[in-house]
Amino acid sequence: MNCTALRAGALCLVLALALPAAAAARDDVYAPLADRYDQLAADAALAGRAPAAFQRARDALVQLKQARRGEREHWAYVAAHRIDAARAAAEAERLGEQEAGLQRENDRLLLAQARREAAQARAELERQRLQTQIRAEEAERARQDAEAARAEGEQAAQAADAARAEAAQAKRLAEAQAKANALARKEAELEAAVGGKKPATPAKTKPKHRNPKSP
Amino acid sequence: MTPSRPKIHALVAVAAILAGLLAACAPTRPPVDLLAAASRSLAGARDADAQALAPAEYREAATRLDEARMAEHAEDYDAAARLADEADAAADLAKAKARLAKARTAVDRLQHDNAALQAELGSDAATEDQP
Repeated sequence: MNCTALRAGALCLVLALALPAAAAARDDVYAPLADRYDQLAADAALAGRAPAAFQRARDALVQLKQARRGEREHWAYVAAHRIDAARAAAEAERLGEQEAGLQRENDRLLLAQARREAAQARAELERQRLQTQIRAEEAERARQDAEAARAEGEQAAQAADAARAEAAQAKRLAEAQAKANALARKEAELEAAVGGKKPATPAKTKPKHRNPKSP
Repeated sequence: MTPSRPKIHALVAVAAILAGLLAACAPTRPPVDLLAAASRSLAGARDADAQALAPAEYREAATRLDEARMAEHAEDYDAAARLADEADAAADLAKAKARLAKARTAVDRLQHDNAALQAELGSDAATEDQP
């Protein structure tokens, strides 16, 4: 009877020592991972995102909590990876939303840039149109000036032609006059020779027209 | 001192329960579903460019899957199941990290582009404002 009581007491003692130690070992593995998950779930920027990944992490933690000693390492590995994956998935989702916002901003900026370039192109076109118009007006003025100069030159040429013609006419007239004078002189000499008189100096016939330009 | 019939029945029942428990604890069939799931997860990670963007995690997942297949081949189905499960978790992490890296790159690029556009538009406005 005493022996049986001693054995039972020893068994109780062993169990009393072993059970808390096992529980402590379990907590050493489980508690840090549970804390890690709780921190992730409490992160305001990430909580509520990637719900499926969060659920897988919770499931792994439950499995770890209930795992026997031989499976604890396995479930700790799985739980740690599931928690990290949940964090990465939630971060990626948050960045995806940020990317969408930045993309909208990018679209707005590209639109503003395109509008500005279009306005600049229109302004440049208008500037070139004005320059073309100015050049056309200058060319028209130059053409008109050239036309006026050409007409003036033509008139001058015509006047010169007329003057040349008048001069030629006067020259012909003077030649005719000189010829007439020579003939008259010859006629007087002949008359004097026929009459035995000393030939008188032939009277100079007045030219019908005296050209002031003629030499 | 032959055992009585009820005692024999009790022993048979206990043996049957133990056998059932053993059968429940250790898989007697290859963990085909777990291996297939891990293989799919690894392919998903590969499609997400995890080999380049999360190489350590991808290698770890691939190694675990190889080990799971070896354990299956050695008919150690319990180890094969555990390793396949771990490969699945590692591959999921590799995929998530690869997607995170891509998202980060895209955000960085857009921030850079937008800053350049803002500067360009600002300088244009300043130029236009000049007499």
